[in-house]
This record gives sequence, C-alpha cells and structure tokens, in this order.
Amino acid sequence: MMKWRIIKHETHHPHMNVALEEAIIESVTEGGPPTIRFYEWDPSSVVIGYFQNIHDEVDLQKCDELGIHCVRRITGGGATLLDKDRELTYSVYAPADLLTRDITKSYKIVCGWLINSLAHIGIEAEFKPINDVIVNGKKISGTAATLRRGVLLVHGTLLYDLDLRKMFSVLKVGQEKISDKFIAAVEERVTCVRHHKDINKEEVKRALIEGFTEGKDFYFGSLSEKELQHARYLVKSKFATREWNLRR
Amino acid sequence: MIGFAEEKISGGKLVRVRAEYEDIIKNVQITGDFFVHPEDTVEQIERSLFGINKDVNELVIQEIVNDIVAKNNAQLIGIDSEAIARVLKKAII
Repeated sequence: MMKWRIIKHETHHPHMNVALEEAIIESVTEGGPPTIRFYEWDPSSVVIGYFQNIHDEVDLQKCDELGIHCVRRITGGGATLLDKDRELTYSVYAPADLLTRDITKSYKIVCGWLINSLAHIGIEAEFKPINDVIVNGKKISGTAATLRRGVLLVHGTLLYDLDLRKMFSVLKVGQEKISDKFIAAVEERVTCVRHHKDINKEEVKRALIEGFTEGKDFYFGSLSEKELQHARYLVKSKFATREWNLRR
Repeated sequence: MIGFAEEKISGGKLVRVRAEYEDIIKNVQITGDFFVHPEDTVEQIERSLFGINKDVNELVIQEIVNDIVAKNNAQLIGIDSEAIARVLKKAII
C-alpha cells in the first residue's frame, strides 16, 4: 500500500498556494507520494474557477480597497473568498488509480473525509452532490477537482468562521444562481464551524488531520525543495501574470 | 454584434456565453462555475464554433460539441452539450 504524505497546516501567499497545486501534481506524476496538504492563505484572496470570467465574478476595485488578492486556480467551479482568519483549505493529490478516475466519485470520496473530520468535533455534515458538504442544509465546504496525466487533485475549503458582508462585497453573485440554489436569502445559504461549535481553529486543524488520515498508511512530511522551486517558477511565469488571471 | 446569455442549469452549474457575430460566429467564450476535464476541451469547443452561420440549428451546435467531447474523452460536470447549444443560440439571437 502506498504511504500518504501529510503536510500539516502551512500558510502561503495566494499565488504560491495555487502554484503548489500544479507543482505537487507534477511531483506525483513523476512518482512522488500521494499527498494531502492542509494550508491557509495570507493575504486573503478571492480564488476564481478556471472557467470563470474574473469581471463577472469579482469586484476587483473592492478587493484593492480591502487588500484582498484575486487569483485564478487550475480547477473549475465557483469563486470563493479564502479569508485568512476564517477559512481552512486542503488538497489531495493522488494517482487516479489509488482513488478513482471518475471526478464525480472523487468529490464523494474526499468530501467523506471532510465529513469524518467534522464528526470528530461533533458536527454532523453530509455530502450534497455535485461537490458540496452541508450542515443542516447550509453549505460549509466547497470542492473542486482536476485530473491531469492520471493524477487527481481534489481540493476544498472549510469555513471556520464567516463574514458574509465581506464575502459578498467582493464576490458578485448572480441572482439566477442564488434563486436556484437556495430560496432563502444569501445569508441563509452558508454556514461555518463556529455557528455550530465554540471551538478554536487549532482544534479544527487537528480534526481535519484525524479525519483525512483515518484508515490510511501515512507519514508527516514537508514539501520538497524541487516542489517549492517549481511552484516559485510557476508563480512568476503563470499565476501572478495578467495573462493567466484575466484570460477569461 | 456582441451577444450574451446565461442559464443556471437545473441540477447543474451556471453557464454564460459571450458571442461576437455578424452573419457568422466570430468569437465565443463559454464561462461559468462548471467542470470540464480535461479543461482545455472548452477552448477547443469555443474554437470549433468560429465561422459557423449564426442561424445554425441548435442540434448542429450540439453535434459539434459532442464530437470534441468524444475526441478528448472529456468528462463534463454541471454542463452538457445541450446547455452549451441552448445558451449560445440565446446569445446570438
């Protein structure tokens, strides 16, 4: 059985976080260990999906005012605010043969690990297809995935705390989408860990590691110098460029 | 002319189409919060629609999209060829 490499919570610049996704996929493609990475964002950043138009989704002027970055990621899905004090993120990188080649199934598998983590802190969550985890009908986590040269990346967010006013001051949310997803007001569509449990962030981080590693053969590791160098190169050549971020 | 249409697909994701056209389609951009694997399939779909008559039948657009999807062995999640054809037609009316 392949041993999973677990990278405990690190904090990176938004450009570096999105670049690491590509760098680690590359390293797994070259035979590196399947990896689960837990991380946070500093400064806070809006992260838009691969297929989204940045101007449709993000109020860039407001981002500037608030010191919030904006970067395009390599996976599809929707825009999200990764608030440095309020959001925890994870990424799973593995040969598809180890998990599944079916992206829809990969969401269910990895969201299951997140649901398991939430159970560790007494929060009962469930998977909501296509790619959400909900608590009492409200979204607490969103997920996105890609499959490249046989390597699967599934990454997602966990809302630890919530500042909806801040979130929706930078994210433009289409009326059409809101009305279909939830009938109620925007405020009633999402929730966070703190709305269900008075718990500090460190305990949630521990629960994530427990929930994601359960039943796996694993070790705690770190990013290799090669991965970090590759990611730094990708920041300069791709993820920090206007060509990439404004391409749609 | 530039046209725009969008649709939240029932049980799926939001799809937006921007199209530049005269008698023929000159440019198409498909955006939204859907998933397509491999991702560059969408760019191939967009390119394959350039040069098509703006009065094209929706089924023809679907066929073009389906061909590219099959060629790339692509997985579409939250979006499908019917939706792309429908929203594109709405954008170029």
